[in-house]
Amino acid sequence: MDLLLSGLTTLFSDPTGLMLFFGGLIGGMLFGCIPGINMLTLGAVILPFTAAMSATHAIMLYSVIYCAGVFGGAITAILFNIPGSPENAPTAFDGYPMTQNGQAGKAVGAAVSCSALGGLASASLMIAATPFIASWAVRAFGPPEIFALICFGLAVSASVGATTLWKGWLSVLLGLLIATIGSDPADGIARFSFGSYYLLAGIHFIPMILGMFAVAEVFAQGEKMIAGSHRQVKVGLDFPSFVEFWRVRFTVLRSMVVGFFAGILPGIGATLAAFLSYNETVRWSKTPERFGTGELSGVVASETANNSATGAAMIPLLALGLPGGALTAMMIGVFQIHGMEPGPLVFLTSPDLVAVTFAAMFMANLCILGLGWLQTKTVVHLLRIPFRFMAPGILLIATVGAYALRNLTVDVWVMYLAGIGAFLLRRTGYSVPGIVLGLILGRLGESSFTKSMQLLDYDPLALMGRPIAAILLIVALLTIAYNIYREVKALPQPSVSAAQ
Amino acid sequence: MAPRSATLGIWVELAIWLSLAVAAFALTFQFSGEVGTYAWGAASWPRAVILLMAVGAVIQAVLRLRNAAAEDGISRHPLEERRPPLKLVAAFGLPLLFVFLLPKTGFYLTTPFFLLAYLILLGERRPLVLIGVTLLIYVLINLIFTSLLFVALPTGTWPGFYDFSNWFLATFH
Repeated sequence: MDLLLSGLTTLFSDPTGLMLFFGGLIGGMLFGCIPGINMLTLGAVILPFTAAMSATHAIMLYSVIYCAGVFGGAITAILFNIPGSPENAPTAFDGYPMTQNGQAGKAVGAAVSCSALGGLASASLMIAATPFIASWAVRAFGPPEIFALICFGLAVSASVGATTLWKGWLSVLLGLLIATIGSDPADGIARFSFGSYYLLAGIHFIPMILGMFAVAEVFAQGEKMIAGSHRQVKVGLDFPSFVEFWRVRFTVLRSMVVGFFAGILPGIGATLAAFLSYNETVRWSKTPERFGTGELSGVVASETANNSATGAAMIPLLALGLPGGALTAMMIGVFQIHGMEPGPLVFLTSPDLVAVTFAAMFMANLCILGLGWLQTKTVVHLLRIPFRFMAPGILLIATVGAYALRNLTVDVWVMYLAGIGAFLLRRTGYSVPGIVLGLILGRLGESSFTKSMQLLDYDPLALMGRPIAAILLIVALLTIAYNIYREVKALPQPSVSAAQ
Repeated sequence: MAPRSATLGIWVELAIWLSLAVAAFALTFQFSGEVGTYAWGAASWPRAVILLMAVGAVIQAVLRLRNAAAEDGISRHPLEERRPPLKLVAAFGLPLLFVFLLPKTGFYLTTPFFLLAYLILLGERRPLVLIGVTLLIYVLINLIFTSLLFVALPTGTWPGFYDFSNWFLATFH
C-alpha cells in the first residue's frame, strides 16, 4: 500500500510524468484499435525517444501503453468484427454477434468494465506479491506444463461456434495445420513453404484474423445486401445492469485468475490469456452452445483475462528480468538504454521506478473505466452509418492494416483468401473461432511439446509424472470424452418413416 | 433411404477434407528426411494433425450419413441451395483484383476506383453520395495511415502509376 501511495504521489506531483501518462493512455487506446498498427508499433516508434526521458518516465509510459493498448482493440472487435490486436480476437466471437443483436452498448460496457476490473486486480496483485509469484510460477511451469495448458485450452475449443462437435474439431485441426506452415520450432526446417521466402516465417495471424473476422463479415453482410435481406443493426446504448454483472461474477473471477497466470508465464501473454479464458468460460458454462451467438460472458472472459495479463506480465519483468511478450521485451530495451538491468535489484536500486510503474498501471485501468464509459455512449453511434458505406471502409482499413504489418502484399492476399475461406466455412457450419484458436494455440503447443519431448527423453508418458501437467492433461481428456458423449447422445434419431 | 441431395453434400465435404489431408501428408515427405536436434523430426507434429483431421472427417461423414434422413429435414447443404449470383462473385473478385493491382498501379490511384466500384456493387447509385463517401474514406485513410502514422503504402511499379503516386505523396504529404 505504501508503495502504491508513494507512486501515486510521485505521479501526480510531476507534470511531465502526468503528460506522458495521458499521452500513453490515449496513444495506446488509439493504436490498440487500429488493426496492423497496434501498441507494438507505438512502442517501437517511441523507443529511441525514451533515451531523452528518465528511466522512471520511460517504463511508466510503456506500462500505460500496454494497459491501454490491450483494451483499445475491444471496441472495433465488438462494433465491426475487426479485432485491433490479436488479444481482442476472442472478444469478437461474442461481442460482434451482440452488436448484431442490438446489444452493442452492453458488449462495449462489459468490455470496458471487465478490462478495468481485470487490470485493477492484476495491478493490485502485482503490487502485493511480485517477487514471490514470479519465482514460483517461472519454476513451476516448464515446457511440459505449458504444453498441457495448451491441450487443456484446445480440449474445449471444438465446442465454440460450430454446428457439431466434429465440425468444431475439424476447424481446430485446420487451424493447427495452418500453424505448421513456416519453420519448425526445433530446427528451423522449412515446412509447407513451397520454396517461398515469405512463407518461411509462417502465416502471420494478424492478416488471418483480419480476413476471418472483418473480411468474411463484409462478404456475409454484402451477400445479404445483394440478396436484399440485409437489415441495419439496431443501436443499443444500454450499459450492462448490476444483475447482469452479478450473473457473470464467477466468469470475471475465473478470467482474472487465468489471465493473471497466463500473463506471468513468459511467452504466453495477453493473447493466449484471452483465448484460454474464453475456453474456460465455455467449459464451465451450462449452455456452451450459446457461445459465438452473442453471449455476454464470452466478452467478459476475454476482456477480463487480457487486461489481467498486463499487470501479471510486469511481474517476471520487474522481479526476474524475464519479458513475457514483445512489449515487455521492449521495456528491457528501455532499461538497457538507461544502463539498468531489470531484476530483483531494481526494487532496491530504483524504488521510485517500481512505485510509479505500479501506480501508473493502477491509474491507467481506472481511466479505462472512465474513458470506456464515454466510448459506450459515443463510439457506438458509428453503427448508425449504413453498412454499404462502412463495408468499403472496413475492407480498406483491413487491407492497409494487413499490409502495414510487414509491408508485404502477400499478407493482404492471405487476408482476403482467409476471408473467402472463412465465409465459405461459416456457411457450411464450421467454426471460425475454432480455426483461430487452433492457429494461435498451435504454434506454442508444438514448440512446448518439442521442448518437452527433448527434456523427457521422448517419453510422452513422462508428462504424467509432472503433477501440474498430469492434472491439466487428465481434465483435457475428460472434457473431450464428455463432449463426445454429449454429442453422440444428442444425435438426431432416424425417423420411423425414413427407416421404412 | 436417405435422400440423394443430403448424402451428396456429405460425400463432397469428406472428399475435400481427405484431399486436403492426403495432399498435406504427401508434402510432409519434402521435409521429413531432414535431420535436426529433434529426434522425431519436423514432420511428426503436422502428420499427427493430418491424421487426426482425416479421422475426424471420416467420423463426421459416417455419423452424418447414418443420420442423413433426419438431417435432410433440418438443413440442406448450402452449396446445393442455389448457384452464386454474379454480384456475389464480384463481391469476392473485386477485392482480389484490388490486391492484384495494388503493387502494380499503387495504392493512391487504385483505391478511389475500388471504393467507388464497391459502393456501386452494394447498391449505391446516387452520384453525389458515391463521390462524397469515396472521397471521405480516401481522405481519412490517407490522413491516418500516410500522414500521421507514416505507413509506406505501395506506390506501384508500372510506368506512369509510380510517377503519379510520387507526385501525389510529394504534393499532399
